[in-house]
Amino acid sequence: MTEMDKDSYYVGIGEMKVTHNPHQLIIMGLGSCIGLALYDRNAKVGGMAHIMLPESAGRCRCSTKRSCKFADRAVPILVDEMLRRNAAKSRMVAKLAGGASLFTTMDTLRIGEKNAEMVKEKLRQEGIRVVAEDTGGNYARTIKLDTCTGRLSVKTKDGVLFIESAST
Amino acid sequence: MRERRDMLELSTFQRDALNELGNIASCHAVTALAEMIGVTIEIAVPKVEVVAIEELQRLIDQDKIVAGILVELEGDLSGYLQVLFPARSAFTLVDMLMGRTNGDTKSIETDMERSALMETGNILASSFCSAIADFFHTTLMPTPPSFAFDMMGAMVENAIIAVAQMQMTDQIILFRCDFKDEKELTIHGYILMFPSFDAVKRILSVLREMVGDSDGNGQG
Repeated sequence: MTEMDKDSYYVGIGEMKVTHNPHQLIIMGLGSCIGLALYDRNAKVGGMAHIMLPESAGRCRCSTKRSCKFADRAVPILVDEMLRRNAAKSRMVAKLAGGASLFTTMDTLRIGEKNAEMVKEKLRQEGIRVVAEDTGGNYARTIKLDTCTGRLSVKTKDGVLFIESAST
Repeated sequence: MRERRDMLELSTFQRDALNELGNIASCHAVTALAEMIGVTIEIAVPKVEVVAIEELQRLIDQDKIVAGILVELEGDLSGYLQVLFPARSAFTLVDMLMGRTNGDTKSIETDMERSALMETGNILASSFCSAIADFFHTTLMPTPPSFAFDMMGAMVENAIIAVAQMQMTDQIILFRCDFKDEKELTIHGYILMFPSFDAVKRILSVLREMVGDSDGNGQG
């Protein structure tokens, strides 16, 4: 991976970022977190959220900047930001990756799995279709969304694989 | 709703004390490793950092492939501990531990290789914990380790999530220790400790008692 490409934005844990072509959005080293990518191919607007835990319920620490920590809050926030950047909900598609379980001692917490479930549930509520998904497993992923094409690439330590380009 | 903004502000004394503690614990750990593999190992002065969760990811080389173990800490000072070896160091360690020629190991695939590294990590983690426990006159029990060989960013992210699960805080106290062997034969590693917020409070209160709360500016 070429470091610090000037057209690339890195999305840190609990953060989100929306941009348009020709920029790229990147999350490095996703473990049990979920990288959620939304894309509108007409507007060429793409957004990404780096989601940590499924629910914010019962936790009062969900102030502004890091509100994308939680899946239940991150999805609507990311959708709103996409809309503000002239994306249309009807054209938005979602792709997600991550939700792995690297360490067996943490398997019982099933955090990755719960994260993925919550993200999909929230997307359903928003009426946004999931067109591609690469979640689960026991390996880390680095993901990159190309806002020119809507293509999401997933890189593991063993190589790169593309999860479906924006065919819809 | 509780109004809480648990921002940690360490006084100079607290920071120094934690640095010293990290230093002692790391020395114990690395000595154990050195004895095990029969090599002199130097540790850089360990650093204690209080970092916001998102900063942490910027402090590390996220794409770097490392062999790592994770243990959960039980007892008064709960939290998680990770010992990470960059890939090359992990290979060298396996060569040493399994009596191979240096340079033989090129990947971590078999259970033998995994368990050799897991055991090494476990020894480091256990000695680190026992030094800390002695200092605080408490017990600190590491759970059996689990192992992964993957991107550093994802491993650290895992520990962050685990701590975040226990209680919400935007900050992590990180004991970070880098070490390498004398001849730079590329044994290089990191010990990262992620105490829970309760553990941090406990650590700070003990430190405060030690100085008789002279400046009284810790958070209550």
